[in-house]
Amino acid sequence: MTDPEIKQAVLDIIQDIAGLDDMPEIKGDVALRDQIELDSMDFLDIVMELRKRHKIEVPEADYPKLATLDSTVQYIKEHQKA
Amino acid sequence: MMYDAVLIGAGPSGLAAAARLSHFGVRVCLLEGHSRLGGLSSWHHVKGREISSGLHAFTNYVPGGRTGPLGKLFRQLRLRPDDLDLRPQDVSSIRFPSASLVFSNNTEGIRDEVAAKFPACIDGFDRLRGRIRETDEGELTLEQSSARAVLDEYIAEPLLRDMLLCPVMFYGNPGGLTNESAAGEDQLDMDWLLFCVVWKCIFESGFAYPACGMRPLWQELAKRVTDNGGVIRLGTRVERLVVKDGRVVAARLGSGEEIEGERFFSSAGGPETDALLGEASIGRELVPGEISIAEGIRVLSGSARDDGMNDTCVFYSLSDRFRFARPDGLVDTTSGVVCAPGNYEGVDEPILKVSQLANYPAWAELDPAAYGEAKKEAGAGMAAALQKLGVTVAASDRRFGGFDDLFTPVTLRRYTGHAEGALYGSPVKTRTGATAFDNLFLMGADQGFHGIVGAMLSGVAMANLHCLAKWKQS
Repeated sequence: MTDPEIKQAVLDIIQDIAGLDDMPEIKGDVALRDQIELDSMDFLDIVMELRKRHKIEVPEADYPKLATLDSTVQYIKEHQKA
Repeated sequence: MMYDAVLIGAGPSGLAAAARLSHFGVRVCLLEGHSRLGGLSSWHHVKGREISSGLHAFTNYVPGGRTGPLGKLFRQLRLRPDDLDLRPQDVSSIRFPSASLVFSNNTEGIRDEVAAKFPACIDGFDRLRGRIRETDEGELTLEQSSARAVLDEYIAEPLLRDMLLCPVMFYGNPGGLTNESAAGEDQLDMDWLLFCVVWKCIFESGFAYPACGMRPLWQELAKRVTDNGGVIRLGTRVERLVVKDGRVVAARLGSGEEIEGERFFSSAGGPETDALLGEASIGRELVPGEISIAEGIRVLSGSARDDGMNDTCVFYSLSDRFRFARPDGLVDTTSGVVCAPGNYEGVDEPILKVSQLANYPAWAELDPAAYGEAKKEAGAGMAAALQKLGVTVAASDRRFGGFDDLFTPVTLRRYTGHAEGALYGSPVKTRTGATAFDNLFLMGADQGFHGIVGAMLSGVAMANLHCLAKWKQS
């Protein structure tokens, strides 16, 4: 996936989890949990949806790397299967 | 076929767990003894009208449904608030002979009422509320402790203590804990943590009612399970959990068929699940719940307000000393809950429901003729109690002393499978859901969360903790 595709895939997951009809503008460099109503259970769901939809495994030690939209995109870019 | 997870009971917890697990590719089999979905929150027909069985209030309501336990539930199950079409209550009340308190979905309403009617108690009430808000009901390990003891500490007026306990006990006390009052008599107490959970359901969020009852939600969750490749079998009672080499390996049905699984989730209840294990044990104290109810249902020709029922729910006691315990007789008419679903905004359910505490063993020992007579007497007793609250119910014009339908603890036992028709399960809760078997888990009432939202969150939490947290997709 290209960077914009990855970004859209992550936003789709967040939108589905949060149950939002319209996504607010998400700032790439600000923590996701400060911008949208998500708790720790919901963050686990982002990881599980990445695995389900895109076969990307995120080990628990790497969860902090998913704090912002930009860092999540970067992480997926580095770990997606070629 | 070997399932990843076999779930017992298609009530709120089982359906939520199965929907969540199957969403992530876990192969599930959901087994339900009854022919319908929903467990304690199913539906049935009275005079040709579909009734949401047992439903008084869908609690934890917040407008928009984004915050609190309800928001968490919606997110975890990928539901939208629109899926339920929740309609808010107008006002509800707590009515005792010497005082009444009105509350609504404006959570400061109850405080204003206490300030107006018990001005000497308002500081204590505020501090009590602060303590409840600070209590984390997600804590899975707290030991049981006395809610009455905490109330005694903050609220000096016994009448107010009993009035606040009344709705909380009716909406979630499984019994079991007792505490000696200042007068030296035993009175039924409630676990403090559970008290906080139910308090927050009633006073820190709102009551609502799904416009079309619970059925659309259960059918939606069931559809998702099957769309994701899961299996749901109704009318399929589990007779035994088969144990081999220290693990549960299968659920055996009445037909002898065995459903094999890697892990098992049971919403049957603690003692009930233990009984399914035969010689083996779930490894915790077995205490059947003793709190059950009888409920009368009257189909109205007009609005409940025409008959004097202006509130959405009324929690009443005909004595200033509120007694909450299994009654000595069949039914205790001196306290109860009255609900008019039609008094939720825009809900077309012109019925009146009255719940009163009832004694399972006393109902269970009646022969069929006496049972029928007892239902008529129970209905007449409910009608008489309603008269004292200013609600008119002509006792002569219906099958059961003013009511078109009346269910008893025996009915609850039959349709839910819960021992002694226990409404809130056993007083012994296992908040982690763990049992002596490392692949058998409890969910639902005996895991410790109550109400429809609570039970569904229980299913979600147990699915997360005991399956998804370790789940690797093949």
